Amino acid sequence: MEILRVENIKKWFPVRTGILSSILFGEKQFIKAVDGVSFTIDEGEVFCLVGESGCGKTTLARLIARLIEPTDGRIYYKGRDIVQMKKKEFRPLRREIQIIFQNPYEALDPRMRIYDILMEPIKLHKKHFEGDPDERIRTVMRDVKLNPDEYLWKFPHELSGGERQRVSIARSLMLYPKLLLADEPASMLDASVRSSILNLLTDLREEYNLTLLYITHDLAQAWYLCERIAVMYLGVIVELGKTDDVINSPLHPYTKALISNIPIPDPRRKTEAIEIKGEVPSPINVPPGCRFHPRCPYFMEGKCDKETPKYLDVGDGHIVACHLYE
Amino acid sequence: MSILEVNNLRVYYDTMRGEVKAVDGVSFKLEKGEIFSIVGESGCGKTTTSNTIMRILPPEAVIKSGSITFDGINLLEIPEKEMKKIRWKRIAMVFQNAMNALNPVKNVGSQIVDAITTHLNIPEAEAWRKVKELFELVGLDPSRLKDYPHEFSGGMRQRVFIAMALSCDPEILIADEPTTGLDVIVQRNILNLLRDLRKKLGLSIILITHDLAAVAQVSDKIAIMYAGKIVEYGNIYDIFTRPRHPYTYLLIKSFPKIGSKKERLVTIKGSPPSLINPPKGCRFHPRCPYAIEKCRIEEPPLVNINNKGLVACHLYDQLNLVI
Ligand SMILES: Nc1ncnc2c1ncn2[C@@H]1O[C@H](COP(=O)(O)OP(=O)(O)O)[C@@H](O)[C@H]1O
Ligand SMILES: Nc1ncnc2c1ncn2[C@@H]1O[C@H](COP(=O)(O)OP(=O)(O)O)[C@@H](O)[C@H]1O
Ligand code: SF4
Ligand code: SF4
Ligand SMILES: [Mg+2]
Ligand SMILES: [Mg+2]
Repeated sequence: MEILRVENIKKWFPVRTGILSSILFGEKQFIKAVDGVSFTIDEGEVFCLVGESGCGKTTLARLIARLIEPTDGRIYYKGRDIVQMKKKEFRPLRREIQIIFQNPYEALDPRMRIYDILMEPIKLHKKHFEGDPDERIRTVMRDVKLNPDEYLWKFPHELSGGERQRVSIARSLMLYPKLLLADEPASMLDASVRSSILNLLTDLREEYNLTLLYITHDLAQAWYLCERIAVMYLGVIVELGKTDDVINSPLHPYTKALISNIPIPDPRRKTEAIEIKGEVPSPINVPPGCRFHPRCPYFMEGKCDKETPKYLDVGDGHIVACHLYE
Repeated sequence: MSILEVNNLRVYYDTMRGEVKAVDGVSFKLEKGEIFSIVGESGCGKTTTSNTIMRILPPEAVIKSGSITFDGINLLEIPEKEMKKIRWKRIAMVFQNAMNALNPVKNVGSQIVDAITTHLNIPEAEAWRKVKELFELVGLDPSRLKDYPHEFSGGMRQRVFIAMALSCDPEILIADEPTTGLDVIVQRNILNLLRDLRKKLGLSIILITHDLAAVAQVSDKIAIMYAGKIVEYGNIYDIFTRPRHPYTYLLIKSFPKIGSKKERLVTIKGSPPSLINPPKGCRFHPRCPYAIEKCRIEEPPLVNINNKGLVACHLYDQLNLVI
């Protein structure tokens, strides 16, 4: 059953420009961080958004958590449009939709002890919390594999990056969320700590019956964790499908390039990386037609730089936006 | 033939909270023309090691022991005046986080020209010719010499720093985390560039990174560093297929590896220790699933295994760690 439906969602941030440039250039400029994204997630699924930095992943997560308002588009949570919803109506849903941020050093208030950090969600939603708060805090600590007696009275600065990320996860679990938005939770952690966070999320998903939207720039993490993957480039999804389909038979030239460039910790497997020129352009001046066209090795003049490719389902929900497949 | 030899290097930082044993008995050899990678998690002492080779340590750093031999000279013993003839001219470095260190109000070309004329006594016109050559060498378009840093992407700026480091034709290039913070496609391009430069210029390269996966494709040899020490050293095939040290083994197994069977990832309990009070005995023992009593007490020496590599673990010949 569908739990989340995102329809043609857009977030354009106005570019702060001086009066002079607005006179010179006339119309207002926008950073098109998210520029028409659609997908659905089923209940219990682990769905992954993959893309290089700046492609709009965090903005998308913040839109779904309703931390920011979209410029256009709809987001349905369990069939209800949360974009149109009044703040008060959304309040109970805030418990169900939780977000974990990338930077474990910024996510926790440095002046609060771990106990108080975990108590906060209970205080905020007092009316909806049943049971013994202390007991709940201890249970959740054990769920994220931290010994409550050892950690509850510590401050964030006394914890390592991995431990802080566990506390962030614990906080998000306090009120039994349904949909967890995990924005690169392992990206800033040391390699020796990263895998334990990935495994923890896998376990929690079972124990808590979670639906997980996992965000990462690392296709290897996406492959490991997720059932379906959406590949983003410059504010849009360029390919979406079951993990094995996308990884083993990528269709979009950008996905192909990304996969062939993944560093593999095994020198026996010399992968031939597809060379892609240049870097991601600014989301202020989005290339016309296919956004990837200035870098694409299969670029077709007159077509790719003129027409925006439509989404095509090649079967089994494997969707691609590229003129090569039309 | 080795071009650089580091022997039993110890560098500590004097801090209010105590002595940080950042580099604590590090030895390695860089062979001529090879790419040698030092891999380890953040804080294990990689940058301190490279800054010591360049002799650009901050005042709070104290070199406790060791030697760094380059061309028969111990770099730790020569006066600064002599070091000036080696630094940048024979051993050059691309700094960690260099990408944001360009002067925003000066065009990129003239910043490299400045760097060249400070070190080499050549006229400006010749320096500009040199910069144009360097631009081509590192894959930058010379028509953009007069562009400003903000017009360059992260990967291009990293190329600028590589060009700068190469401006005096050094024999050794040290690249400290040259791909950190870059996207995968750009990362790969930069690593390929280093590989090409090694070939074209006969450079010897020390590549420093926290990203084990990234170096597998480009390095000849690897040293794995943990908590101020090198725990294992060898050629990449041996390290990645038949590691001897539990830390190396667990680290490799903790990466999701696309294309192989999906198995539950191996995890390492705990996190890297503080270097003010590092664990006694083997520094990895609190996290090591194989630790025995001896590991808590006695520090394992770095031993030579059939001239194929070095490892510091009491159980190196008893564990059968195969990837
Ligand atoms: N609050 C904001 N104001 C202006 N621009 C923003 C804001 N948040 C993000 N952006 C821009 O939107 C683009 C997408 O950013 P983000 O969603 O953070 O990408 P990602 O998470 O994929 O790295 C980037 O170009 C970023 O600079
Ligand atoms: N100037 C300094 N003063 C005190 N401690 C330092 C200083 N520079 C680095 N350190 C400490 O020394 C250790 C090694 O640091 P560094 O060499 O930068 O490691 P790496 O490059 O592997 O991340 C770390 O614990 C770090 O906090
Ligand atoms: S639409 Fe054209 S430019 Fe875009 S990815 Fe496909 S082939 Fe390349
Ligand atoms: S010496 Fe002991 S603790 Fe250290 S790595 Fe070897 S087995 Fe583990
Ligand atoms: Mg982000
Ligand atoms: Mg460093």
